[in-house]
Amino acid sequence: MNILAPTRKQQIDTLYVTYAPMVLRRCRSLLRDEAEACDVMQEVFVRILTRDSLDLETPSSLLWNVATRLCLNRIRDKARHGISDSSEALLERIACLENTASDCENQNLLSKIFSKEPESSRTIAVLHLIDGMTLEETAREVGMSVSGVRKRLRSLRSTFVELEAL
Amino acid sequence: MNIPDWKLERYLLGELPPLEAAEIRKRESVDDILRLRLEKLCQSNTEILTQYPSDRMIDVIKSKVEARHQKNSMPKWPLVMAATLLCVAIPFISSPKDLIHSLLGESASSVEIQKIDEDGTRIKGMAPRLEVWLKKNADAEQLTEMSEVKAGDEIQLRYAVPSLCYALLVSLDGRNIVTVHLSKGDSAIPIEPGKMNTLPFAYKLDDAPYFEKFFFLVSSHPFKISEQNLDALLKQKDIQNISFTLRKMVASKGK
Repeated sequence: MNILAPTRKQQIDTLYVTYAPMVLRRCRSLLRDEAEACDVMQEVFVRILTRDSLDLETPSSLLWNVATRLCLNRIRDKARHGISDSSEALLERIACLENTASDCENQNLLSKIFSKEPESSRTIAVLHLIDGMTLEETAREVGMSVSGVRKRLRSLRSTFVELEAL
Repeated sequence: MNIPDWKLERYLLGELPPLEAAEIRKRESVDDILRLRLEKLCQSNTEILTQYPSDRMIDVIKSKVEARHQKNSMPKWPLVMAATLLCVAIPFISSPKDLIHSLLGESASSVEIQKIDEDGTRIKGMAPRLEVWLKKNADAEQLTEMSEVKAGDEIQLRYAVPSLCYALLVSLDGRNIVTVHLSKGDSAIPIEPGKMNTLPFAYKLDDAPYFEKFFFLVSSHPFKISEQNLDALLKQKDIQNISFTLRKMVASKGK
């Protein structure tokens, strides 16, 4: 039997064809700019291809999270360089993307905390508050315990309360 | 309740837990809006891959990866000195995988890593493995995760375990049908370690849509399966799950 093992090139091709549409849609929804979304999508695959192995257990979860993190970084960097009006305005836009039950509350919360919290907490906030993932799903996505995620969200909310008091 | 986009994406990719996938499939048959959302996602997939074709985009991505590697390999003398000292002091600090990767310059995942147990037994491979092959007349092509297949394709499954354990091999298709490929009745069977086993029969794919997902479930103790408890089995911490998903290509109408 002639055995044809898959090459890394085939793996890359399969990975791209399978997941690029999902990654681009994610980037488009967060960035609302086709050129930037395409650029970040490429960066997501660059990050994945620099890994030792392409045998990923749950590629969609990993790619979704990497895309989310890179988009949030892009938004933050733009705000820092004064390219956008303000990080709050950008976050407002992000918060309005999904039709969740408590949009206004989430929008305000995210606007306040976005520039003050660590990267991982921001990702947690977006996955839970914007994407509508449960605490368990969010914990699985970011590789933390449910109590860890709950603690981060509690910390974000207390930051928000403090900011509100100012 | 509105199903979030990320969940629909994973549903189409066959990466949702079986119970959640079953719920969506059930709703799909009665919920026109959900069906439309899924159709739009499939349509969007085609549009995006037409707009950004893989051959062109992979070249761009690869050039960025190479640029990143070159940037990272620029000499930083103080760091090089420190690293040299560290290497002299701790010569085998790299993981075996890193070492193989650096020696061969390719993905270490394709390399069999051998490990010597405490009692000197040689363990071939450090984790249970599942291989999926597509039969093509006298040939066979090894498939990668998310490879495209179609109804009628013949799939051959191979598996190996690093130590004596109990295992089951099942698959779940886009119609939420669970098929058991390896078991003794509803019980996991004991598997001898070390050698690669091939199922005695090939598996012909039917016309179920979206995906075919295989689960190689391995545990150090005996366990059982029923169609209803697959989801529970997948969540059990003492049962290791090695999964492999194939995408189902839709046959064009009229063919």
